[in-house]
Amino acid sequence: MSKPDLSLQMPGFVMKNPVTTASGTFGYGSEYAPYFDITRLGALTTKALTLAPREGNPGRRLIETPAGLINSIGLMNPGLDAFCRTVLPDLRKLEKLPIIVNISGNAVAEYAELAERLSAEEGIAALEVNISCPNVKGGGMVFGSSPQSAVDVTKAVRAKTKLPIFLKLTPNVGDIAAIAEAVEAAGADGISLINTVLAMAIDLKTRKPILDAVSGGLSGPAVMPIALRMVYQVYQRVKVPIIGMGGISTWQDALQFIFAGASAVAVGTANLVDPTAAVAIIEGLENYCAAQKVERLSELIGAAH
Amino acid sequence: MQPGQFVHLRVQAEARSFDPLLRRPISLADFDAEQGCFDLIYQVVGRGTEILSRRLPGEVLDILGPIGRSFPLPGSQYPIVALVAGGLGVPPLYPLAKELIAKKAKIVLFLGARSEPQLLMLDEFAALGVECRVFTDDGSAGRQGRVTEGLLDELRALQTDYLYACGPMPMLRSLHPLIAPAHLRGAWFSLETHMACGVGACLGCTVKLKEGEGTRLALLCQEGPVFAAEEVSFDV
Repeated sequence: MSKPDLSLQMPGFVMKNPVTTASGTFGYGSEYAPYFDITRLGALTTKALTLAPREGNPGRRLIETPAGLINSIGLMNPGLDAFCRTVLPDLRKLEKLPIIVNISGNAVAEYAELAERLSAEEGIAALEVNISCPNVKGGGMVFGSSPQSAVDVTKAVRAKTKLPIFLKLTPNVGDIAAIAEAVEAAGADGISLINTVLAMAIDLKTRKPILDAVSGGLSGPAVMPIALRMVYQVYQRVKVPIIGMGGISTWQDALQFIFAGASAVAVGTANLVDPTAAVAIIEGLENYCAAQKVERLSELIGAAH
Repeated sequence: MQPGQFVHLRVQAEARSFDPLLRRPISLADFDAEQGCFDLIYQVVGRGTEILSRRLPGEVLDILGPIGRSFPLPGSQYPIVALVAGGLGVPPLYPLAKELIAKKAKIVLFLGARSEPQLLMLDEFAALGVECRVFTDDGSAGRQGRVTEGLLDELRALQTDYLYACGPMPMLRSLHPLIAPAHLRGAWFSLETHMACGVGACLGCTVKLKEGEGTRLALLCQEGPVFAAEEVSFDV
């Protein structure tokens, strides 16, 4: 058997393997370049981008938990203008590496403007729409927490771009598959899940919440069984490709997500522990396919159903 | 390897272990660039350091680094230098002292700790010819009181050119207002904060710096851990 084929046809672009990065854990790639050739990734998903620059949260941003990490970074990013001017030109130089730009907003109009302006730029393979943000005009309810608000964002973005759009869903809902179904019907080309799980910790000395914002987002191995269950459920209800993420540390973890129905997987918190985690996963998947005589990894998507 | 840098290490031997999840950043306490070796001094304060303390000689440690911007050295020879350290802050100042000695510096170490057992590396500094002035909260060694008490007068009396400080934030907060009136040529603080990736990607290790009339957040693992004293903001 010749070398296993790990490639994946996504709407509008091809990934040489199914491994991308989870937004927020990989910056814009250059931070990890000293550790491995980042063009080996199947795709690179950037840190969330907002219209205006954001400094993020001033206080404590990280809490380690058993097999996890609660973050309260606060969407720190240079903003759309600086991204297009200073970051995107460097990203364009990365050969054969599709760039997925994650966008975040506090109003439907912000998502629409981000989509419109990024569509005018060269070098972007797809947008990942982060709807785990509060809708400031809608009383602060997170966009992704109801099918209707998730659809509002999806439609607004869909109207402004021909780029493939992946809606990134929050797990902090009762029925994530319903939200997935709704955004697919509204024009999403794919679904990414999961974002972080709402979580908190309390300081024993002060007897108060550790984070200024009280809650933050939990990620890492601790959330993997939750994320996996959600990918499995969403796969049953949608036809568009799924990018599965949530605690993936090893190629075995990635396989579970693929069997559950993910076409691609994103590696997140694992990068913070081992900068070469993603490449080890790619190699592990290759070796698995060779050993199991699987000619094309994509044949195994949804095998668990 | 440079004084002020740190290594970011996995404390456990097992690759697959998530207990604890994250690496721990620990400052270089001494190093030999030619031999390619370094020393770390750490205190057991929690799960990570507790596991690290049970590792055996001969085991292999998974480390990233060295990471971070080092202490800038004075440009000239014969500088008069004050090193100010609290508790576990003293180790990174030791390789700095060695490099300062090479510049024929006169060095005074002001070292504060809660009690005598927490005073570290006094013999090592003394062996370099560093004058050590010790302070303990409980009076069990040296003068009773905080390392910053009367420090401005001392800095002036010594005609101090440069100051380097490393220690807990309350100590640095007390030290900060003494810097400007001491009329130093340069002063630097080594800060610490919670850290995850150590490579500049996760944006978790921010510290507040002064910028113009306001402030900005800088990544400790990329721009720090050493910062010019006048840049550090203690605004809440």
